[in-house]
Amino acid sequence: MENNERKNEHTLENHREYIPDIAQGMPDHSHEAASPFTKRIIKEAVPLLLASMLAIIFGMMSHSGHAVNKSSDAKAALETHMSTTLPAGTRLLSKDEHYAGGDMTITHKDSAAKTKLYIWDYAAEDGDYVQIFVDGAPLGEPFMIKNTPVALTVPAVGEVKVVGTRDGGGGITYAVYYESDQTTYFNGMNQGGSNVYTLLRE
Amino acid sequence: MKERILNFMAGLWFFGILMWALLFGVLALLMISFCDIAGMLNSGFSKSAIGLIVCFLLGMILTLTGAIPVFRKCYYKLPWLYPFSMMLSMDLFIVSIAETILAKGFSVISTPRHTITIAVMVVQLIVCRLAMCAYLKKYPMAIHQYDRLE
Repeated sequence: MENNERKNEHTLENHREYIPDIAQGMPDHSHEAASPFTKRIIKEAVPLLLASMLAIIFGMMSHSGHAVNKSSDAKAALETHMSTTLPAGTRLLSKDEHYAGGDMTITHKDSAAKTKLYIWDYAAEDGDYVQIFVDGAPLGEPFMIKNTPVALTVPAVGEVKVVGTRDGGGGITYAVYYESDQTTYFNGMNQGGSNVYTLLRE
Repeated sequence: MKERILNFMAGLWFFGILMWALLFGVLALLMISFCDIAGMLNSGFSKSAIGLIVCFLLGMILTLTGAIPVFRKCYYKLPWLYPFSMMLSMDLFIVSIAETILAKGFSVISTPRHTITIAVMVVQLIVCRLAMCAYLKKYPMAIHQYDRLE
């Protein structure tokens, strides 16, 4: 019994001695462990990353700038100011260039009573504002045109007037695409000016 | 030798990227507040909002600075830099959201829409600033509270 107790004591003593030996032999990590300041920096990097990701998502959603189309169709459209091949929302110029276009008469074979009109800025998004009038009545308030087209429903037969409310610089450059004749018209005007599109059915 | 290379990288990051990013952030904060927001309020016309893109760029650079130990060294050498960076990014986020709200609201010329937009923007600014104050009260950016930085 006594022998056993001594044996246990001896083992415990050995054990007690053994732990500090290991501790002395091991490197002291207390100063290498991250400080509360470092922990805070690392911890706050995570929400910062999430906020950055959210910022770019919302930033890209609200930013509608398109790349300039430099295809041969785009070059031809710059000369003729019309295109049947380029899709709605095509950007032709990086900067606004003064262009005072004119009124147009569009003849189509669309039998529907209403058609869709897409309008956008085909140059820089510099804060050009337009207002649309259908047969003399305003179709909403004046709005800023961007590279991303805005879709409006207008009668397939009638008079659509685009009024230049504000020039953001370099003239008001805009394009309209009518679903009825599936053609884009790259037009322009000065502030206060207007272009009238007369829609006729064949 | 390894330590010298790491110090060189830390210096390169600080003087080559972080310093310019922070300077750009300060300029962007001033431009957004005094040119974009004030300009839109004065003219009543919208502008392209770029604040959130700046936030993304600055946020990514600050995230990398905080997450990578070598780049983080500047925060130990210049203890004021971390509070400055964090408060700058918070302010930039708040002002950029306000700019985006204003740009969206002012893209249509309509007096009721403009009034609602300004009201929403003011509420957003107040709520976000209060949230920022509450966060910094709970977790103060007082560096002297830390007995050691590194």
